[in-house]
Amino acid sequence: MIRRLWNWHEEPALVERAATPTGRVLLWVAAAVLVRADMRWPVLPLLALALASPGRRFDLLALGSLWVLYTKVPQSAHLAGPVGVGLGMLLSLGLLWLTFRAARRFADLPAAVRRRPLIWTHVTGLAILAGASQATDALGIAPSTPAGAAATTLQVMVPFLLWRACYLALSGKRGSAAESRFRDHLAYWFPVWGGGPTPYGKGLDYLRSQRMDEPMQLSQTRLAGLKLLLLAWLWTGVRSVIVSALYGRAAWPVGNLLHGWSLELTTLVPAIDAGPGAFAFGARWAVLIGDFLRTTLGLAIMGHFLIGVLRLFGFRVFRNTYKPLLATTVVEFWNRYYYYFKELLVEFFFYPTFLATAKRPRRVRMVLAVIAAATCGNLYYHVVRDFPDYFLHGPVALFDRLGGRLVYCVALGLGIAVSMLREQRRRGNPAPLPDGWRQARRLRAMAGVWLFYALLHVWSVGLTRLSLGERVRWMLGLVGL
Amino acid sequence: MSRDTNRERLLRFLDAIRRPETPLAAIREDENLIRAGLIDSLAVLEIIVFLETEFEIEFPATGLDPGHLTTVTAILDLIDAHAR
Repeated sequence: MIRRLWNWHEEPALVERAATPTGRVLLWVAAAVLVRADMRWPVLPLLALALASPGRRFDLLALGSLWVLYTKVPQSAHLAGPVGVGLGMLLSLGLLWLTFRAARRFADLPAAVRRRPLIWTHVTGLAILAGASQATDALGIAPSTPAGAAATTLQVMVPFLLWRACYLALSGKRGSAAESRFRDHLAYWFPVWGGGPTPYGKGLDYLRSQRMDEPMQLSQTRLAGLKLLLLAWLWTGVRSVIVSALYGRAAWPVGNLLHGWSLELTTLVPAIDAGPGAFAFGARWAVLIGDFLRTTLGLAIMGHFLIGVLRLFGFRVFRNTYKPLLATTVVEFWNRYYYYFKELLVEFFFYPTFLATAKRPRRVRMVLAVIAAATCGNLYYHVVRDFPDYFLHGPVALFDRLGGRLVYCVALGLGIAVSMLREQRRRGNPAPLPDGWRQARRLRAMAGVWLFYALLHVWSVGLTRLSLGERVRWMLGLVGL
Repeated sequence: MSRDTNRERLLRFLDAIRRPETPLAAIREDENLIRAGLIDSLAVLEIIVFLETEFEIEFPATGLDPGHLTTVTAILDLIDAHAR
């Protein structure tokens, strides 16, 4: 009964009703209420059109993406007026068009590019990024000129588009790009459902494979989108109660539910900044676990809003976050916490390494592939994403910031590798335990996963505010030193 | 080798690596194996190794689309394409 209530979006009568014209109008009204306020434009008008004409989904999303592109042009580029903004947008679209042409005519590319299309995509992207970053300083181009506006736009666009271009390069290699149109790719390059450098919904190949066209499947997918939006609001409420209890801050939508009572903690970054000496031993752990929970909920909420909208458009894609706090292994948490980032690392680092090491023993291949993805790929992703914070503040800041991220990535890679190997050994050999013991073991495993990721959290927060020494001091403070 | 023989070998293999709580018989051939809960993404690696060793498919040469490894039908199509 509870299961049936929870899966209300799969009820055949409801699915059928939601597919009717009246049902679709009601669906749109519900979406208008549930979509996050800052996503309403251009999502709601486009959704109305997509509900009326689902066959034109990609064209409608392409239309919306032009608006998203406009909003991505940085404020500094607006100083150059409409010409600067227009130039920045045209340049971004031009780059994407060239990438699209290359993917479509993959067979005609030079052999070296065909062998390693992803590496070439990165080399080209980074060269443009470096050129655009240096243009304003080295060439003395003022940001308020159209050329300066174009350069600053590229600085923002390249990290945003790089991984999307990689998905397109993969499509080129697989041959699926040849059957696509330029406007099809706009849907995920500048997605109306939002997101950052990690593409929620991956590239066109995945979106196409998950596009529902059969009326009942389409209707069910849309209802699943509504359910995800509802869940997003539910978790928003839970998070605001946690924020209120931990920090004493009134948080929307529940306000100060606890009538001013709180544990009077702070979030992790100011706590590390203040040093462990400013907190009692137990409070240090409470700050850490509280911040870890808050961050995990925040990611889940954001992902539910984005994937909810994507499903409303009729794409039956996986959730970004799926009950990570119930994971009993490190690798399971990694799978469930930030699915599309994990997929990015798996597709562009893990599989290529696993396949390139075919002659080595299976366990060695697995460890190498995990290190390539969770350590090297992860580090590379963040360095590219935050390149001004790493590279434009001198060698000391570079060493300090890179050091913190490196500790995070190495520990994550090792943790996942060990967890994967243990998981593989356990496969097919479940321990024969009574129910009570099994539950206790499960809780212990979950606590271990929380502990691992909460400790990692110390190394991932406050990139520009915390030094390597401060992070080490906090870690020592957690064990009473 | 015929598609039926390949199917039999593949299903026997999937039965050995599946999650214990999901019976193989409950899954349709065109159903996503991960989504249906039959296997996890770690098991996809096992499928890769299985295809490399049993059918001598060299993925570095063909490239890998994980989407081709998530349904029984897609895996059988991949084996057929390689045999051709």
